[in-house]
Amino acid sequence: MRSTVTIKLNKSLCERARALVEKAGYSSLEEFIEHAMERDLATLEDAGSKEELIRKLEGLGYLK
Amino acid sequence: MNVAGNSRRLTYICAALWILCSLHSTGAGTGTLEHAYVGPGAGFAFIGSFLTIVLSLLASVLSFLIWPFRILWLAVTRKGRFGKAQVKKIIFLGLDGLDPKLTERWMAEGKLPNLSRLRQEGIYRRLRTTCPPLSPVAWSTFATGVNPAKHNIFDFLNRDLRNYAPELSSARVRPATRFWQIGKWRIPLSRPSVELRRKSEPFWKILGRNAIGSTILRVPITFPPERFNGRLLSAMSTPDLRGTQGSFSWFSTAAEPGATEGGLRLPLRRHGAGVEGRLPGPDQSQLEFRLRRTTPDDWELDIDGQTCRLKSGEYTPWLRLRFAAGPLRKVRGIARFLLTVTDPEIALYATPIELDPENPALPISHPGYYAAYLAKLLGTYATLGMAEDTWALNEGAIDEEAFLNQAKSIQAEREGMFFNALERTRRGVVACVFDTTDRVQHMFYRQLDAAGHQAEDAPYAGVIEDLYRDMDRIVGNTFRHVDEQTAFFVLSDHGFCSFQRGVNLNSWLRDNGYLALLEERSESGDYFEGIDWDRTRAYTFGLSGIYLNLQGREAHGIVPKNEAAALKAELIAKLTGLPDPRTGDVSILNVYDSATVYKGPYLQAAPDLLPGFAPGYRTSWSAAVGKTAASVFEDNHKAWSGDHCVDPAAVPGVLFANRKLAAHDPGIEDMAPTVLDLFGLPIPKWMDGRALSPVLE
Repeated sequence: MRSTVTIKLNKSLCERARALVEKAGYSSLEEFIEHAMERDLATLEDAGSKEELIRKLEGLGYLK
Repeated sequence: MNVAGNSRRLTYICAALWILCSLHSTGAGTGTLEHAYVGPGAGFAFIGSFLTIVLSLLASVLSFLIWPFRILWLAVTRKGRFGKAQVKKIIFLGLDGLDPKLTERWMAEGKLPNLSRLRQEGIYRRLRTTCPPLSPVAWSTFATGVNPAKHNIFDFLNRDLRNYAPELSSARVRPATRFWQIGKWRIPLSRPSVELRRKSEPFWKILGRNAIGSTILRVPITFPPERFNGRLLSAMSTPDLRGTQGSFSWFSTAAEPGATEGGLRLPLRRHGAGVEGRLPGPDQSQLEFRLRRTTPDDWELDIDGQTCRLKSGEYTPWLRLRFAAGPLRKVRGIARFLLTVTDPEIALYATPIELDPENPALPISHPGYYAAYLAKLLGTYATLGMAEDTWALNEGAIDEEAFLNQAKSIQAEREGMFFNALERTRRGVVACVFDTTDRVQHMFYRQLDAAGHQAEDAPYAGVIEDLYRDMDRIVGNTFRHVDEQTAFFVLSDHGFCSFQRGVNLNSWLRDNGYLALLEERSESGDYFEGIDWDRTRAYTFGLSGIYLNLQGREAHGIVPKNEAAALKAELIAKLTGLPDPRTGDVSILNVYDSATVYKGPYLQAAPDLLPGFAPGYRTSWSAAVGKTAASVFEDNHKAWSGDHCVDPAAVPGVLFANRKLAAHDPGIEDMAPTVLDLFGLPIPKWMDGRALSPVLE
């Protein structure tokens, strides 16, 4: 689910990003910012439980 | 307009009316006291009903007063919306895994008259699929018009670079993070979060922004549903109530409890004239049930306060079940039961407990009420991402007949939704994907010989042909909703071939010095248990690729970035043409470098190399879960005997359209741009596909 959050960004940074978003293959500035946040969060957050992740895959036909 | 103020005024007026009516009805205004005391419950019930009536009347009056303006507004804006459109309506009938070789053969034999008609009136082409040719990857490309490095779906699985753990590539469900602990109960104070991992933008969102509505039914990788102008029912990746991708329960008086692939084996205890057992639900919850024989052929199942009649070999209808999820809190699911053995032992199969579409524990549709609307209108239906229980057949919990009945029943539910959407749609898009073609071919491909012909003496020899004919029937029924201003497409995301031999590339990497085990281990366990990462340069898991253990990317990466290209080239050279020592056949036709075949911002999540297996071969069952095995090659003895996880050139899909389109070498990435073009909308620059333009006659 998405929610609307107002974040004030440096104008020139925003313009630089907006100019390159489509060239980089993103569909929107929001997608670009989300990706940047996800990449950084992955280095800050703890990894989840491996056992729990494996349990969630149970029943997927392609995998034993 | 001050909506809050108006709402308050309306409430005061309604309250005043209610007080006047109450005074009148109780006689207080006339001084008569002969009526009995009326408690507050009745008052609340009365005001509730009264408010509903008043508000409904007001809404009706308002709607009546403004309808001329609405009609005028729609007339003006519709001209803008559809001014450049070549069509009013587009129908996508997705037949997952419909194979061009079998389709072409049976069309030539006159067995698929409606598909032949479509080819005659419009076009038929083999449709280039994605690399790898997997449903989550290909349907994501269908929806977005981009290559996998732009939509982030490369396989069923993704890896967590921090610990090499596998996770579902398409959706991430995080449990509630704040709880209130009361004894053994934990009451969640926040909601679970569900995140769609597929990136970019599906065509139906772009259409929605341009006021063109869509109905998207069970197109894979749409869980959780995104908000847009239209209706959507989620598909592949939707979990069951236990949070898995579908785990069945297999009860038996003869069974020892324990796990089986894709489910649980559970005991049935004899009790009087019947048996009893416990159906496991989410978070350790259980539902007790009793099963008793009423006549030699009839049984009754008592579960969760309801009684259902059973006959051996016949599925029950969907039963609504409630599981305790804390004090005063229940979660709802649905399941079907099948009595498979009655003498002398008793065996009962229960489908995975699926989310109840009328009250789903997680969002499965947009708008949220759409799933419930369909259930109320057409009856309850399967909601699980991959609802056909292939593991139950693999493990023998159900037989072929029971599997086919289940698949047909799910198909019938889907048909109801599809034709309902077609009847309601005059403009816009209806896209619906049927999975039966994929699941049945996976489980019955063994009935075809190496050349794909039906083995004459096989007990289910005609199953796949019957399936194709049935899909042709759906195509024929769809024609009733197609007029000159409708574009009608039938497509599949990939084809099919046999799966006879599994290739364990982890074993090959080990034997060739690229993957190392910890010294005390002779083999690794599931998902790299026992792998020595400090000595491992490459590894595989999932169905599509090989990953380098890259420094600065993987948590224990050892391959310097400046050596990655050379290592990839070395592996490509050694693996291309890898012979099967038993047959001498080539098992890998090509190995693709993802940096060459993909382009986009999510490339880092992609496998580094994508082996294109020859038909008949696939990643072995053990390699798919990140395991090594004693030998590189192994026979596949499972009922799951057909597959498509091979070189994409070997398993293209099909594309039929009811109009002449210039479609030279069409790819599945061309579908989204084609939709936008047919509606006269510009194609975004980020899309990789191109519109299949009409041929002027």
